[in-house]
Amino acid sequence: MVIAAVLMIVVAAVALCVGPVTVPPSQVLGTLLAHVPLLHFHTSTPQLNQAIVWQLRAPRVVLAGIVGAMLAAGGAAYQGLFRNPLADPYLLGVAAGAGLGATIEIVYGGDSSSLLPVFAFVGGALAVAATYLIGVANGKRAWGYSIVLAGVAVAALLTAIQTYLQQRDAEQIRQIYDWILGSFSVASWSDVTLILPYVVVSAVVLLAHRRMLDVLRVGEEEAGTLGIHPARTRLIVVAAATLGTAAAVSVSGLIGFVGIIVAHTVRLTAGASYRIIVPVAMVGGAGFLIGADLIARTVLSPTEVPIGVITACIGAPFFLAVLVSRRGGVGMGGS
Amino acid sequence: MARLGTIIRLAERRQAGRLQRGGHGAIVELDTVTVRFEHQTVVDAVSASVARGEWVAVIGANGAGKTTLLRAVAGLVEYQGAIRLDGRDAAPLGRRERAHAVSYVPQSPEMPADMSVFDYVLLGRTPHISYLAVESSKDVAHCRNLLDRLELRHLARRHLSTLSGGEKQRVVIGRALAQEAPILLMDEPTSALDMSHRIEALEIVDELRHDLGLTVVSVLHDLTLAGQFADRLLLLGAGSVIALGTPTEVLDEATLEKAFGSPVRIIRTDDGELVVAPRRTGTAGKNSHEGKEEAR
Repeated sequence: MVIAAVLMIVVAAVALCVGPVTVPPSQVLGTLLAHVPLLHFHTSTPQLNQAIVWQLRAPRVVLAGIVGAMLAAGGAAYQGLFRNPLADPYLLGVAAGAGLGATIEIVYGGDSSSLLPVFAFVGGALAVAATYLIGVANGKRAWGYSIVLAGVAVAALLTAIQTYLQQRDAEQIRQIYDWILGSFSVASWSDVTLILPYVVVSAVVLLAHRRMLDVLRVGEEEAGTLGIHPARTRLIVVAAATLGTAAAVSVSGLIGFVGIIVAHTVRLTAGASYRIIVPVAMVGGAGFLIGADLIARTVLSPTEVPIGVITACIGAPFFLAVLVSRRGGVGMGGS
Repeated sequence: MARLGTIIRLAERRQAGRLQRGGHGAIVELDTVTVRFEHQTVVDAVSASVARGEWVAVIGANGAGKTTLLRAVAGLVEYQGAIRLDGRDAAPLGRRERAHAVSYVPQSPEMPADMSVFDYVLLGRTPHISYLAVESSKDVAHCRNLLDRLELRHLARRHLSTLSGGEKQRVVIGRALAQEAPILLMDEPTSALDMSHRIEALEIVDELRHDLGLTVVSVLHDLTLAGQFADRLLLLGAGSVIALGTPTEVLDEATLEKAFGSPVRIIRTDDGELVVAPRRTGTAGKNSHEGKEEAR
């Protein structure tokens, strides 16, 4: 946990300093302290550099951190709930729903894009709600199996509708495609404040349920004999993970890979208990996405590379290296 | 020599337990318990009681309703009739309350491959930990003591997938004991073990039963072991009680033949224990024997 936190702080500090204009660490620190309420700190940092740090880079770093934390924690929670190492936060259709919501807003919403996060959030949440209702309709004993299949079906349907809308309005394809690949290029403090309430609720609930995720690993029946309500617990965790993931993708677009690799990397390096995985994955996910965004905006500067490309390009080899070095596999099976 | 002393001590305890049986009141009471699955009656009006500190083994042929009866007591299947745990009707008990009263070891427990032994045993503390909290130092200390007692301390950090069958069984028992429930239900706890590990696992349960004052209700397929370890046997056939009594009363050739549909021989050893030996009945054996005779 300490290592993950230190790494995240270091990456965040570098991200605040580095860009088309390099700002010295002392000026970054001065700018940040000047914005701490009640501190009344006065900095000698030039106004331009203050604006670069506080108006452009800080919201971007904070937003990337929040989104990374939510995607990693959501992935960890879903892997625990479904006892499936391939589960990611998009498993139940939140990405397809958010994609459709964003597409509807882009195609029919006119020039203003202020409602795009709202449409994406609502689309993602509705998609998971539909998946859940269809999944549990098949009986709670088949819950894990049927809800994953329901997620696949709902995602396929929504993606088909989204593709149809996208093709009908070819002029908007580029804008939709950019959103789907994910980006923090227009991140602002208003985005942070927009998603913060949902993210805080989601993070608190997931952290509070980290021990329950361990209990659920022994299966529905045995978990029940240990005194918990597995179905109720699962519903709460799914709702919290969906809330956080939908809020995250509504402002960032569909950034892939974070939800799988961060949780697995934590599992392979820090232990298999969700009491450890959930909090460390949050911190690790934040650091990972801040770093990925830093690379995305600097590697081909002034052009920005879609952050989804970066997360896959650095995430996959890193994950494979950890996997090979541990030789422990990612088994999470029942026995 | 020390091993022999332990066995004699445990045998004395068992004898003492049998003599004391009935003097502590019933902790598990079944009153015409019936379980139906889609119009099929699996457990049919079973009535029985288990005294505090007693070990009752549920025996019977495959499909006799043994596991279902145990699952009804554990609260895992719906039933008609009444089950009372320590004098309280079990039906309205919440899951947490029931987990305080009963711990359950299923026949094939789910053991996550990459979970450590200590984390697995710690799961048994769940009924004692608030819903959104994590374990306290007291819970951790309790599990450490249990691991010491079960001689598992050196395995605490090992993954469950790396354990032998005997070690796994002790770990599962450790998780159940971590619940500190006065009633321990075990569904065929030794089915996957070889002979020496079977004895070892059952001796551990018996020792802990006496030391911790546990009441044990277990399904056992091995009738000889059931007779050696249990104070009383509950023999089921087609969901109904065929016999309930001490091993000497229940392990009767005619009774077992009726329950299992196959003849057995009961042998009493010099030290008074009963051995249940199945008799061969199949024509295959007879034909083979005749073939050998003809060849000569």
